[in-house]
Amino acid sequence: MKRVIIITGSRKGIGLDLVKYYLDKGMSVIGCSRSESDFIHNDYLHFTLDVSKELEVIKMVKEVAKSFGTIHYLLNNAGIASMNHAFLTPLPVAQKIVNTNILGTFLLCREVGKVMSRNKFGRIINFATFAVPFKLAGEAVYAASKAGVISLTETLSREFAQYGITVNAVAPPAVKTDLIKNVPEDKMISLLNRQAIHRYGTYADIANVIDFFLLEKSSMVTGQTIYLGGV
Amino acid sequence: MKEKIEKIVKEVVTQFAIENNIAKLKNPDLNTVLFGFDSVIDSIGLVTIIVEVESNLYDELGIQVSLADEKAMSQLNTPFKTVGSLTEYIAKIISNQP
Repeated sequence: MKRVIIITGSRKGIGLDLVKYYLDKGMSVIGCSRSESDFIHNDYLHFTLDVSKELEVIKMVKEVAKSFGTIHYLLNNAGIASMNHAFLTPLPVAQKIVNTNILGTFLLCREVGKVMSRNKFGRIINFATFAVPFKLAGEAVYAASKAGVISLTETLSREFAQYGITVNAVAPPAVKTDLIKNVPEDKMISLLNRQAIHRYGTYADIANVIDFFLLEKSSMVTGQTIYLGGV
Repeated sequence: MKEKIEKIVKEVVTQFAIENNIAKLKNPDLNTVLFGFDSVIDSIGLVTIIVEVESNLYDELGIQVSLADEKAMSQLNTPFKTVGSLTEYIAKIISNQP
Protein backbone atom coordinates (compact mmCIF):
# COMPACT_ATOMS: atom_id res chain seq x y z
CA MET A 1 0.00 0.00 0.00
CA LYS A 2 1.29 3.45 -0.92
CA ARG A 3 2.00 5.88 1.88
CA VAL A 4 -0.40 8.82 1.87
CA ILE A 5 0.89 12.32 2.52
CA ILE A 6 -0.89 15.67 2.69
CA ILE A 7 1.20 18.74 1.90
CA THR A 8 -0.47 22.11 2.39
CA GLY A 9 0.57 25.18 0.43
CA SER A 10 1.58 22.94 -2.46
CA ARG A 11 0.97 25.14 -5.50
CA LYS A 12 4.46 26.63 -5.62
CA GLY A 13 7.76 27.08 -3.82
CA ILE A 14 8.92 24.61 -1.19
CA GLY A 15 5.48 22.98 -1.09
CA LEU A 16 5.54 22.09 -4.78
CA ASP A 17 9.16 20.88 -4.54
CA LEU A 18 8.12 18.60 -1.67
CA VAL A 19 5.16 17.31 -3.68
CA LYS A 20 7.51 16.26 -6.50
CA TYR A 21 10.02 14.80 -4.03
CA TYR A 22 7.48 12.56 -2.29
CA LEU A 23 5.90 11.53 -5.60
CA ASP A 24 9.36 10.38 -6.66
CA LYS A 25 9.43 8.31 -3.47
CA GLY A 26 6.28 6.51 -4.59
CA MET A 27 3.77 8.14 -2.25
CA SER A 28 0.20 9.22 -2.93
CA VAL A 29 0.38 12.97 -2.49
CA ILE A 30 -2.52 15.27 -1.70
CA GLY A 31 -1.91 19.00 -1.89
CA CYS A 32 -3.92 22.13 -1.33
CA SER A 33 -3.67 25.85 -1.86
CA ARG A 34 -5.93 28.86 -2.13
CA SER A 35 -5.43 29.01 -5.90
CA GLU A 36 -5.81 26.21 -8.38
CA SER A 37 -2.73 24.21 -9.28
CA ASP A 38 -1.65 23.39 -12.81
CA PHE A 39 0.58 20.55 -11.61
CA ILE A 40 -0.64 17.17 -12.85
CA HIS A 41 0.50 13.69 -11.86
CA ASN A 42 -1.32 10.36 -11.61
CA ASP A 43 -0.59 10.11 -7.89
CA TYR A 44 -1.29 13.76 -7.07
CA LEU A 45 -4.64 15.14 -5.98
CA HIS A 46 -5.11 18.87 -5.45
CA PHE A 47 -7.74 20.67 -3.39
CA THR A 48 -8.39 24.38 -3.72
CA LEU A 49 -9.11 25.69 -0.24
CA ASP A 50 -8.15 28.08 2.51
CA VAL A 51 -6.55 26.15 5.39
CA SER A 52 -8.09 28.55 7.91
CA LYS A 53 -11.65 27.65 6.83
CA GLU A 54 -12.88 24.88 9.10
CA LEU A 55 -15.52 23.34 6.85
CA GLU A 56 -13.20 23.31 3.83
CA VAL A 57 -10.50 21.52 5.81
CA ILE A 58 -12.95 18.97 7.24
CA LYS A 59 -14.31 18.27 3.75
CA MET A 60 -10.85 17.68 2.27
CA VAL A 61 -9.65 15.45 5.10
CA LYS A 62 -12.80 13.32 5.09
CA GLU A 63 -12.65 12.91 1.31
CA VAL A 64 -8.98 11.91 1.47
CA ALA A 65 -9.59 9.46 4.32
CA LYS A 66 -12.45 7.86 2.44
CA SER A 67 -10.58 7.64 -0.87
CA PHE A 68 -7.21 6.50 0.47
CA GLY A 69 -8.23 4.63 3.64
CA THR A 70 -5.90 6.56 5.90
CA ILE A 71 -3.35 9.37 6.04
CA HIS A 72 0.18 8.61 7.15
CA TYR A 73 1.91 11.97 6.95
CA LEU A 74 0.98 15.64 7.14
CA LEU A 75 3.25 18.54 6.19
CA ASN A 76 1.76 21.85 7.31
CA ASN A 77 3.72 23.96 4.85
CA ALA A 78 1.04 26.55 4.05
CA GLY A 79 2.00 29.91 5.45
CA ILE A 80 1.96 33.60 4.69
CA ALA A 81 4.19 36.46 5.72
CA SER A 82 4.05 40.20 5.47
CA MET A 83 7.24 42.15 6.01
CA ASN A 84 6.37 45.49 7.44
CA HIS A 85 6.99 47.63 10.47
CA ALA A 86 4.43 46.95 13.22
CA PHE A 87 3.30 50.61 13.07
CA LEU A 88 2.33 50.08 9.45
CA THR A 89 0.76 46.63 9.67
CA PRO A 90 -3.04 46.71 9.20
CA LEU A 91 -5.09 44.54 11.54
CA PRO A 92 -6.67 42.52 8.68
CA VAL A 93 -3.17 41.57 7.48
CA ALA A 94 -2.17 40.50 11.00
CA GLN A 95 -5.38 38.48 11.34
CA LYS A 96 -4.80 36.78 8.01
CA ILE A 97 -1.29 35.74 9.04
CA VAL A 98 -2.50 34.36 12.38
CA ASN A 99 -5.46 32.62 10.76
CA THR A 100 -3.38 30.87 8.13
CA ASN A 101 -0.23 30.12 10.09
CA ILE A 102 -1.62 29.16 13.50
CA LEU A 103 -5.27 28.29 13.00
CA GLY A 104 -4.69 26.63 9.64
CA THR A 105 -1.97 24.46 11.18
CA PHE A 106 -4.23 23.70 14.15
CA LEU A 107 -7.19 22.71 11.96
CA LEU A 108 -5.10 20.39 9.81
CA CYS A 109 -3.48 18.82 12.88
CA ARG A 110 -6.90 18.32 14.49
CA GLU A 111 -8.66 16.79 11.50
CA VAL A 112 -5.78 14.72 10.13
CA GLY A 113 -4.84 13.69 13.68
CA LYS A 114 -8.30 12.16 14.09
CA VAL A 115 -7.80 10.04 10.97
CA MET A 116 -4.30 9.02 12.05
CA SER A 117 -5.52 8.12 15.54
CA ARG A 118 -7.75 5.38 14.12
CA ASN A 119 -4.66 3.77 12.60
CA LYS A 120 -2.45 4.37 15.65
CA PHE A 121 0.22 5.88 13.42
CA GLY A 122 0.98 9.30 12.07
CA ARG A 123 3.71 11.83 11.45
CA ILE A 124 2.91 15.54 11.49
CA ILE A 125 5.51 18.11 10.53
CA ASN A 126 4.80 21.79 11.03
CA PHE A 127 6.79 24.68 9.61
CA ALA A 128 8.53 27.13 11.90
CA THR A 129 11.11 29.76 10.95
CA PHE A 130 14.46 31.20 11.90
CA ALA A 131 12.61 34.52 12.24
CA VAL A 132 11.51 33.40 15.72
CA PRO A 133 14.92 33.02 17.42
CA PHE A 134 16.41 35.86 15.30
CA LYS A 135 13.57 38.17 16.42
CA LEU A 136 13.61 39.75 12.98
CA ALA A 137 12.48 43.35 12.90
CA GLY A 138 9.73 43.81 10.34
CA GLU A 139 8.28 40.35 10.91
CA ALA A 140 6.60 40.82 14.27
CA VAL A 141 3.29 39.15 13.45
CA TYR A 142 4.81 36.48 11.23
CA ALA A 143 7.37 35.52 13.89
CA ALA A 144 4.69 35.60 16.60
CA SER A 145 2.48 33.30 14.53
CA LYS A 146 5.33 30.86 13.99
CA ALA A 147 6.20 30.96 17.70
CA GLY A 148 2.59 29.87 18.12
CA VAL A 149 3.19 27.02 15.69
CA ILE A 150 6.19 25.87 17.73
CA SER A 151 4.12 25.94 20.93
CA LEU A 152 1.30 24.08 19.17
CA THR A 153 3.80 21.47 18.02
CA GLU A 154 5.11 20.92 21.54
CA THR A 155 1.69 20.60 23.16
CA LEU A 156 0.08 18.51 20.42
CA SER A 157 3.02 16.11 20.63
CA ARG A 158 1.79 15.29 24.15
CA GLU A 159 -1.88 15.10 23.25
CA PHE A 160 -1.27 12.89 20.20
CA ALA A 161 1.51 10.63 21.55
CA GLN A 162 -0.88 7.97 22.84
CA TYR A 163 -2.23 7.53 19.31
CA GLY A 164 1.18 6.78 17.81
CA ILE A 165 1.34 10.22 16.23
CA THR A 166 4.48 12.32 16.45
CA VAL A 167 4.37 16.09 15.95
CA ASN A 168 7.55 17.96 15.07
CA ALA A 169 8.57 21.15 13.31
CA VAL A 170 11.23 22.09 10.83
CA ALA A 171 12.49 25.66 10.76
CA PRO A 172 13.96 26.38 7.35
CA PRO A 173 16.70 28.98 7.09
CA ALA A 174 16.41 31.73 4.51
CA VAL A 175 15.29 30.04 1.29
CA LYS A 176 14.89 31.83 -2.03
CA THR A 177 11.09 31.85 -2.28
CA ASP A 178 8.37 34.44 -2.78
CA LEU A 179 8.38 35.13 0.97
CA ILE A 180 11.67 37.01 0.71
CA LYS A 181 11.54 38.27 -2.87
CA ASN A 182 11.11 41.89 -1.71
CA VAL A 183 13.93 41.86 0.83
CA PRO A 184 17.08 43.72 -0.35
CA GLU A 185 20.07 41.47 -1.05
CA ASP A 186 22.32 43.18 1.53
CA LYS A 187 19.72 42.51 4.23
CA MET A 188 19.62 38.86 3.24
CA ILE A 189 23.42 38.57 3.34
CA SER A 190 23.37 40.10 6.79
CA LEU A 191 20.78 37.53 7.83
CA LEU A 192 22.74 34.62 6.39
CA ASN A 193 25.77 35.78 8.35
CA ARG A 194 23.81 35.33 11.58
CA GLN A 195 23.43 31.62 10.80
CA ALA A 196 26.26 29.19 11.62
CA ILE A 197 26.22 28.17 7.95
CA HIS A 198 26.18 31.25 5.71
CA ARG A 199 24.15 30.06 2.75
CA TYR A 200 20.55 29.89 1.62
CA GLY A 201 18.71 26.72 2.44
CA THR A 202 17.25 24.52 -0.28
CA TYR A 203 14.18 22.34 -0.41
CA ALA A 204 16.55 19.33 -0.22
CA ASP A 205 17.84 20.54 3.16
CA ILE A 206 14.26 20.72 4.40
CA ALA A 207 13.27 17.36 2.89
CA ASN A 208 16.22 15.75 4.67
CA VAL A 209 14.89 16.82 8.07
CA ILE A 210 11.34 15.84 7.15
CA ASP A 211 12.55 12.40 6.03
CA PHE A 212 14.10 11.93 9.46
CA PHE A 213 10.84 12.83 11.22
CA LEU A 214 8.83 10.53 8.92
CA LEU A 215 10.89 7.42 9.63
CA GLU A 216 9.01 4.68 11.51
CA LYS A 217 12.03 4.37 13.79
CA SER A 218 11.72 8.07 14.70
CA SER A 219 8.78 7.10 16.91
CA MET A 220 10.53 8.57 19.99
CA VAL A 221 11.17 11.90 18.27
CA THR A 222 8.32 14.28 19.01
CA GLY A 223 7.69 17.84 20.12
CA GLN A 224 10.95 18.97 18.54
CA THR A 225 11.84 21.91 16.30
CA ILE A 226 14.94 21.58 14.15
CA TYR A 227 16.48 24.85 12.99
CA LEU A 228 18.44 24.47 9.81
CA GLY A 229 21.59 26.45 9.20
CA GLY A 230 22.62 26.63 12.83
CA VAL A 231 20.40 29.19 14.49
CA MET B 1 -32.42 11.40 11.11
CA LYS B 2 -32.17 11.36 14.91
CA GLU B 3 -32.77 7.60 14.96
CA LYS B 4 -29.91 7.07 12.53
CA ILE B 5 -27.60 9.24 14.64
CA GLU B 6 -28.61 7.39 17.80
CA LYS B 7 -27.91 4.07 16.11
CA ILE B 8 -24.42 5.21 15.10
CA VAL B 9 -23.63 6.51 18.59
CA LYS B 10 -24.80 3.27 20.20
CA GLU B 11 -22.79 1.15 17.73
CA VAL B 12 -19.63 3.13 18.44
CA VAL B 13 -20.11 2.89 22.22
CA THR B 14 -20.76 -0.85 21.96
CA GLN B 15 -17.64 -1.36 19.86
CA PHE B 16 -15.60 0.72 22.32
CA ALA B 17 -16.99 -1.37 25.21
CA ILE B 18 -16.05 -4.61 23.48
CA GLU B 19 -12.53 -3.45 22.62
CA ASN B 20 -11.93 -2.19 26.15
CA ASN B 21 -13.86 -4.95 27.93
CA ILE B 22 -16.30 -2.62 29.72
CA ALA B 23 -19.37 -4.75 30.46
CA LYS B 24 -21.43 -1.80 31.70
CA LEU B 25 -21.34 -0.16 28.24
CA LYS B 26 -22.03 -3.14 26.02
CA ASN B 27 -25.77 -2.47 25.71
CA PRO B 28 -26.00 1.32 25.76
CA ASP B 29 -29.29 3.21 25.93
CA LEU B 30 -30.02 6.94 25.84
CA ASN B 31 -29.17 7.31 29.53
CA THR B 32 -25.81 5.58 29.34
CA VAL B 33 -23.23 7.95 30.81
CA LEU B 34 -20.25 8.71 28.58
CA PHE B 35 -18.53 11.46 30.51
CA GLY B 36 -18.69 12.90 34.01
CA PHE B 37 -18.30 11.71 37.58
CA ASP B 38 -20.41 8.58 36.96
CA SER B 39 -18.65 7.53 33.75
CA VAL B 40 -16.40 4.51 33.35
CA ILE B 41 -14.81 6.21 30.33
CA ASP B 42 -11.84 8.52 30.81
CA SER B 43 -11.29 11.69 28.76
CA ILE B 44 -9.12 9.84 26.22
CA GLY B 45 -11.81 7.21 25.81
CA LEU B 46 -14.36 9.93 25.19
CA VAL B 47 -12.12 11.50 22.53
CA THR B 48 -11.80 8.11 20.83
CA ILE B 49 -15.59 7.66 20.80
CA ILE B 50 -16.16 11.15 19.39
CA VAL B 51 -13.62 10.57 16.60
CA GLU B 52 -15.32 7.26 15.70
CA VAL B 53 -18.78 8.84 15.74
CA GLU B 54 -17.60 11.67 13.45
CA SER B 55 -16.05 9.16 11.08
CA ASN B 56 -19.11 6.88 10.99
CA LEU B 57 -21.45 9.83 10.44
CA TYR B 58 -19.50 10.57 7.28
CA ASP B 59 -19.08 6.95 6.15
CA GLU B 60 -22.69 5.91 6.74
CA LEU B 61 -24.68 9.11 6.26
CA GLY B 62 -22.30 11.33 4.27
CA ILE B 63 -22.46 13.97 7.00
CA GLN B 64 -19.39 16.15 7.54
CA VAL B 65 -19.39 17.43 11.06
CA SER B 66 -16.88 18.49 13.70
CA LEU B 67 -18.01 17.66 17.22
CA ALA B 68 -15.58 20.13 18.79
CA ASP B 69 -17.18 22.03 21.65
CA GLU B 70 -15.75 24.42 24.20
CA LYS B 71 -17.70 22.68 26.96
CA ALA B 72 -16.60 19.19 25.87
CA MET B 73 -14.58 18.51 29.01
CA SER B 74 -16.88 20.34 31.44
CA GLN B 75 -18.24 17.91 34.00
CA LEU B 76 -21.48 19.86 34.31
CA ASN B 77 -22.26 21.22 30.86
CA THR B 78 -20.70 18.80 28.41
CA PRO B 79 -22.94 17.82 25.50
CA PHE B 80 -21.15 14.47 25.58
CA LYS B 81 -22.55 13.46 28.98
CA THR B 82 -24.81 10.63 27.80
CA VAL B 83 -25.67 8.76 24.63
CA GLY B 84 -28.89 10.78 24.54
CA SER B 85 -27.27 14.20 24.97
CA LEU B 86 -24.63 13.37 22.36
CA THR B 87 -27.34 12.32 19.92
CA GLU B 88 -29.27 15.54 20.55
CA TYR B 89 -26.09 17.60 20.17
CA ILE B 90 -25.20 16.02 16.81
CA ALA B 91 -28.77 16.47 15.52
CA LYS B 92 -28.64 20.13 16.52
CA ILE B 93 -25.30 20.74 14.78
CA ILE B 94 -26.54 19.07 11.61
CA SER B 95 -29.77 21.09 11.61
CA ASN B 96 -27.74 24.30 11.92
CA GLN B 97 -25.42 23.46 9.02
CA PRO B 98 -25.89 25.54 5.85
